[in-house]
Amino acid sequence: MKDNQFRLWRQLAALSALGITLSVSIAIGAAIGIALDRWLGTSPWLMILFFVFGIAAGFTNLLKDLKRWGG
Amino acid sequence: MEHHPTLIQLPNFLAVIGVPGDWIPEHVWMAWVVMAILIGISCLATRRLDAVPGPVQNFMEVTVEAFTDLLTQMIGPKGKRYLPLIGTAGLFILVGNLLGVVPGFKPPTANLNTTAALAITVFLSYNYFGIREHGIVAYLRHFCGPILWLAPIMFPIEFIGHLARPISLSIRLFGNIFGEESVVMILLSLIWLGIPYVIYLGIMMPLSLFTSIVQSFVFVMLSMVYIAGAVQSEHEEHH
Repeated sequence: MKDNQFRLWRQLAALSALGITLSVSIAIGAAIGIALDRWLGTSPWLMILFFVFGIAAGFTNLLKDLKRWGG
Repeated sequence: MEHHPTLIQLPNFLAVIGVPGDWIPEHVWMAWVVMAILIGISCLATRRLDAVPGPVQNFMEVTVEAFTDLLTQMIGPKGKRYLPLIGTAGLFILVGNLLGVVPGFKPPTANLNTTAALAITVFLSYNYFGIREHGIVAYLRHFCGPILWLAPIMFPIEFIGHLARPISLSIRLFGNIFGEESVVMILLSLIWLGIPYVIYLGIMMPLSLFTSIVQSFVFVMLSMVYIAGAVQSEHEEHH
């Protein structure tokens, strides 16, 4: 029973990271895009590209975490 | 919202290095208090190691065993070598959070600087452990995913996902503890027939204790998940 309880707390810890991981990934993607745009002057295409990368990263990590910790 | 300083303030003796202000910043001072508590208890526990332990040594043994159990459950039998990092981070966060419940003290984790320092340390550490375990080329190959020619797409995606981890760790801990402490400060500055004090004692105190312990546990668990992800070889079964 103790191991079962422990698994629940582990699930809680991992699943509580999901929401913030998704939003922060998108934000980091956009931030990297904007920074690279300012450096290379190719606005706004690089920002859009890295924004899409951020969305992809966010959802990839979301699905991977859900599959692993879904329960 | 008035600014309630802590009970004791230290004058700024670090001004020579260029730290501004008249007083030592509160999160730094409270972090020193947490360090003093942890070092003090550790010294008390290990001063005279008995085979049949006294109360302080017993308590510390239970704590160390709890961390070691968690580590071996998450990372496998090689988990014990990460005990210094995980144990220190966990105990620092736990004592730091609980210090906020004591009136007159402010939790050091209520400041983004402290939590970001902890999160960046864990981030750099788990990458270092991965590189130490697998070598840098094999570790970077983890980032590229299973199909090799998709690597130019997978690498930025994995990179961004990895960068999201320390940010999420720091902001989660900071948000929880700062929010709880702000609510307590506002409740205590209301004078309304004593009702805020009842709310404080009946609701906020237990809630503060609960979130302090849960948030430190979540931080430790996620650090162990990240270390396990970096250190485990690919054919080992994740459970």
